[in-house]
Amino acid sequence: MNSKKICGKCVLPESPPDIFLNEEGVCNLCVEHERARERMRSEKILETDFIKILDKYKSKGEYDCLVMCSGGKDSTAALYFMKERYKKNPLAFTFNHGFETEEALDNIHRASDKLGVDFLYFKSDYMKEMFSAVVKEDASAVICHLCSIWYMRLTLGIARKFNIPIIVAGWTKGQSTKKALACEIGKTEFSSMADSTRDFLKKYTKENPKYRDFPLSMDEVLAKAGRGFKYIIVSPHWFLPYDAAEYTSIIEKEVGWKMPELSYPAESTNCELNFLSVYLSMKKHGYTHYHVEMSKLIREGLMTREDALEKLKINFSEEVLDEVAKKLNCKIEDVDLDV
Amino acid sequence: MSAKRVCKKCVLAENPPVILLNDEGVCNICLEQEKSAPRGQDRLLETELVKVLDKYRGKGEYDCLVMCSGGKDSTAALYFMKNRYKVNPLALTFDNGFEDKKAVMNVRRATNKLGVDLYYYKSWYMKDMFAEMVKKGTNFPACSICSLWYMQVVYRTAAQYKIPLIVGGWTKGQVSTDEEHAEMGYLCKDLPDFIEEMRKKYDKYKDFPRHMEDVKKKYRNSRKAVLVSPHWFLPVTAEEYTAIIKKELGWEEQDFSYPAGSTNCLFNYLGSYLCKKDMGFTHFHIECSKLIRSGQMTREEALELLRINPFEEPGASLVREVLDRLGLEKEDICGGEEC
Repeated sequence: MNSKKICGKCVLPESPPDIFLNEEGVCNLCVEHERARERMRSEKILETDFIKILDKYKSKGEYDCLVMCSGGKDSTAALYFMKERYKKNPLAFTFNHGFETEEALDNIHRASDKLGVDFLYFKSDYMKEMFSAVVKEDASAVICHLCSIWYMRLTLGIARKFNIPIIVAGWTKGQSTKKALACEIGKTEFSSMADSTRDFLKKYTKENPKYRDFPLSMDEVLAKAGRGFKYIIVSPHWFLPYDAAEYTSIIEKEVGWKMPELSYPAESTNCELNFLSVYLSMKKHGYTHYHVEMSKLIREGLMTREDALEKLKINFSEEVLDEVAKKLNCKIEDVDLDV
Repeated sequence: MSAKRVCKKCVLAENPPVILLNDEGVCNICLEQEKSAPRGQDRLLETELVKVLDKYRGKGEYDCLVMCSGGKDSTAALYFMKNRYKVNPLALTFDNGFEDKKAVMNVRRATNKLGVDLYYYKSWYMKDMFAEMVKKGTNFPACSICSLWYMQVVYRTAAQYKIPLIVGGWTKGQVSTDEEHAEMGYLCKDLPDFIEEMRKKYDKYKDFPRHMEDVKKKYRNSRKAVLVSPHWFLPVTAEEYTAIIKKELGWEEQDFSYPAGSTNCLFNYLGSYLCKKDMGFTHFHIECSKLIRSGQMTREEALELLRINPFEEPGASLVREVLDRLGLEKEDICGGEEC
């Protein structure tokens, strides 16, 4: 694995041409952020803004909002807030590409039972061959990005079918901001990952008729969904003053949420494939989207650098990777977990 | 319990003017059947099913929608669709909040093994109606009203995914949703009044369908969906296909089911009890009687399957759990009168 220099303020490694460190060992993103700080302070996001959005996008159908719910703490808390704090009638939606963990699914079932919220679960192996190809072709495309493109397309499809204008995600303040949506492909720190993902998709979708209609980017998904359908994607976490520890203890108490046993980063995802995606992303790019997310949280003063470094340590074994690779009918050669 | 006389040949209780027993204690339906016998070969040929499947194959993303509750009949239907007829099905599981957990696991295992997409929809929509039914001690089967709701979900999903063919696990004895039988109509005689009352009392039920025709009309415009069950055509007995799905799909029998080895809805037990208490029979008695008359079941077997007693275990704990989920006490049953 590479031994890149890491920014002294956040946790991103030097990755030209996207991320550079200056003489003090601080990355361009942190410097930029520092510069914009004053302006950003005055733009503080208030909960009232969220309530305004909820009022503006009134549903004509049975459900007020569609909550993308993976069963993790962030999305379960989002579901909880939509129902209990904002008194909305949500439809919880879970997509399982075949790698969602049982504990995560149990969490959603329990939450929807306790909250009396309707729940739609869609399982499909459709993506499996594409995931497998990424490994077999040793591509630099990020598995999580491919999946999020598909997940978002399905979500918007469901929203349209049920005529639900508000799509709620459990994204944290570090994952996205009010103005930019989803995984922000195209942003500086994602440039090389996004380019690799797009390059892979361009070639792969052309060669494989099964994926002929697969969108090439998140932008394409968002734009196509918007034709004749007015929608918004928001996360209550952008507006709420609670940190992860606070809402985790709320959902543990109120909806019987349980922490997954093994997760990367610690206390985070519910997807077995994520381990593989993280490993490949580290190998190919030197960092993951979690490094980007946590760096943002550090800059916003919502997480310490030490905490982030601790959470981002590779905590899974080679056996876990083998297990996932086996499900994809492939094998990963020369595993090196020493980051 | 009602002290109604029960037909000596089948298991239907005397209910003038629809079900009448003669001096020998045999009901008019059994007599009628004998008169018209021999009915000869009424088994439909498998070629007929193949013709139907071929008509719809490859027209869209999915060839058919398989209603799959996780019980043996519907799991086998899904198995035959995928493995015997090689069509591409979407499995649909609707959960009214009382679906047996083990049954849901059966569907998940089966769809995983078969590589079939699964659309699982849990909705609490029926809950208030169920609570009202318990409090009033209604005399029609819970299934008769719940099926109006779930067929709406089925037709809606078929329309959403543009699927022209709907497959169910209906056995030969089961009254398909398209059929009308005098004894079934009689069993549901008080259903329209109840629906009318619910439509007035609850805003969410204001458009509740009055009968199956309402349901069909709502979605027929978008798609003319055809209903079919492989069990009507296949020369495979329930024992045979149960063995197949146990071996091939890891199917497991539910811990408790009424009638034994049949439904997966936990509310059904209490619902059936209320219905039988007043009418002396349920739709399950109609189904079993048909099977008795056609020689596929003995009267003794049927009586054993249809035994119901919510005051003894395991029925008693099930009733307690169901009441708990409905937010009711034992004293609420039939408005507190002695049951």
